Amino acid sequence: MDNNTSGYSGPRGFAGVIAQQIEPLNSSLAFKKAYENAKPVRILLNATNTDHAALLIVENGKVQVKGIENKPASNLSRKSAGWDGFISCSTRTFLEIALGRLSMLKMLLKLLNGDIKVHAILKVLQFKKIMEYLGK
Amino acid sequence: MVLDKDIHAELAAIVGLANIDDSDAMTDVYAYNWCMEVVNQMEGKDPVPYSPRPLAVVLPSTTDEVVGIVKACNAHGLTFKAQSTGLGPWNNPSTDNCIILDLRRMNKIVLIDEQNMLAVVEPYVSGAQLQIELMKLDLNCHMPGAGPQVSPLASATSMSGPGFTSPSTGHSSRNVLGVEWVLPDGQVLKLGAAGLEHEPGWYSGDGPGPSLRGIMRGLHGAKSGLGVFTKVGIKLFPFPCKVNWKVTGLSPHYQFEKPELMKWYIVDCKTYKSAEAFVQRVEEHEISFICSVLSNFGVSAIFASSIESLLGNAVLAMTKVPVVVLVAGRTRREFEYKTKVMQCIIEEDGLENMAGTKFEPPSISYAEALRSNLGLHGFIATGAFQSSHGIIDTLGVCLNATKKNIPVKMKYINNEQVANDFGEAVWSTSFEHGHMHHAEMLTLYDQTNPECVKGIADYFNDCNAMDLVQHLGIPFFIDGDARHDWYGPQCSNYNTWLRKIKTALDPACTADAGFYISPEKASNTTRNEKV
Repeated sequence: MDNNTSGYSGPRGFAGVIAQQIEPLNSSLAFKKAYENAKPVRILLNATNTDHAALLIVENGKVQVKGIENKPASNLSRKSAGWDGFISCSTRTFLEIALGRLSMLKMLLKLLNGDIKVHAILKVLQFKKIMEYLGK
Repeated sequence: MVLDKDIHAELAAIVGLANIDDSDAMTDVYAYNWCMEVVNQMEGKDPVPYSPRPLAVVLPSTTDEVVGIVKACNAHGLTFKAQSTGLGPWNNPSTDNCIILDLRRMNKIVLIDEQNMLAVVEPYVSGAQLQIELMKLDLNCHMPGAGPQVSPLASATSMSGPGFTSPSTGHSSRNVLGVEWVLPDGQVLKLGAAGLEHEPGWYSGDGPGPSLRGIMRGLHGAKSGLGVFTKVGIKLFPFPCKVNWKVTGLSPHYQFEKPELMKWYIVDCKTYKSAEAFVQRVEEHEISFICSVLSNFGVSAIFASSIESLLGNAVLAMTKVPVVVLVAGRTRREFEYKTKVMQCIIEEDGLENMAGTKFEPPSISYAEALRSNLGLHGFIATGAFQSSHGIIDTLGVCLNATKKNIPVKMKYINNEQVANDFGEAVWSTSFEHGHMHHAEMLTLYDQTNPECVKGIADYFNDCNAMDLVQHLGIPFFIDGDARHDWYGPQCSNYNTWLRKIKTALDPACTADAGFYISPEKASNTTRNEKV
């Protein structure tokens, strides 16, 4: 199978970046096995320096990413977006988390000084766990 | 400045009126080049991608015409800058008193000697053109790292010369089997066996008598600062696998039916120390066609043809210190031997091959491995990139420099002046299966943003200073008077000797010295007065 696919039609911008990174999981047997019977989870990733947030939906062993405009702020409320966990930081920090370049200690420091804002941290930590399946 | 009408007529008489142009439109085009804005910024000028405009562009088609133009420049106090395929600011004039010799009409493959495995080419023969002809004979050439679109002659005679296939095809400087060289005064000199009075040939690049190869090109080439090379003999190699290519699809989404006896290995060594040990073992066994130490983004880029596919290579982006090896065999027995040795090394080092398990390399990556590999992919993310350092030393020194470069680059990443690659971007390869190693640190930037151009220029100055202070060798872009005179006193005063060479061959500085060095008491000024 070629990884070079043309005609990409998924979400654009930050949500597109997340989708490109994460949607290959849909062809991972290990991921499917781990999440097909798990409770559905919806994690909202908001990149503070872009216009769109990405809503990550893991359900029935499949992952899907939707783009949501992050202004006005009410678009990102739990009620409006329907998330179980929420994380907000710069795209750079997201990149570091996604590629495993941010240790727990560094992440904690960023949480303490407000560089990362989180609601329902245990749900959000699943994002890191999900990314780990890319290397399996 | 404007070209004098009489000089125009004199040059036109040499090349024909259709092959000289001094119009604004044409000379403006020749003033533009990739990365010129960085050079300008580094010299304290406006960060625009333009050099001084040449007086005219002249297109000779024979060595005699080149001689005529060079003699005319000498007679009228003009300088000249020769270019083959013309990629990069080294092809541009450094003064407003310069004629461009565009050698694109000198585009012939003069000779392919199948039995003795050598070829003789003119300046505008590209690596791709040569390779196509060689493949018909089951032969291959060393492809410059800049890509198959550039001139093997320029790489062999006037530039640096590492390539992605360097483990198996060496370095451009070491593949030279003689040159035909128009000196800055218009004399023609033939080096190597081509210069023999009786039975001349192209089988040796050195002599007759003492070798002048070092004077001709040194470490990183004189970049036309010592005249014009009109022919070069180069060493050839057996093609590494079957030569039948089947490519379908449209650019950039080609599909390639890969030859049977080729295999990628993508190994995440996690640490530089582990990568050093792994690469040394692979090269000791002489089994690689390509063997490169890369960064996570570098390895992602090699296997991507667009931003979308680059982002889709997350599994590669999660690597720490990836090493990429291509094994190829001309026979099944050779291929099986090499892959068996690779498997043993991987197992003994406790590593894992991600290719074919966690990541499926796109089929076109096999075709690109035979030609270009990383080069063109460096432009995908931002449209502009350039390398710093350019070390030639042991693998240990190369990887040590890679580590030391991280905090230097992070300063500019944190300022958002260059792209965030965690400061780790590197391409390091061996030459001739570990004989020597090369490392350059690639940087992506936005050439349209003056702050980014300022950032990359300052970063390159920091890299140059780091190499000098920490004894990491002479980088790629130590060129021009100011930089040579900065480095020289710390490096055996080589600048004094370089200047003596220039003075002996070109006392009037007719060959543009902007990316080389000026002779003693030069009348023509050169670039980089400010460093």
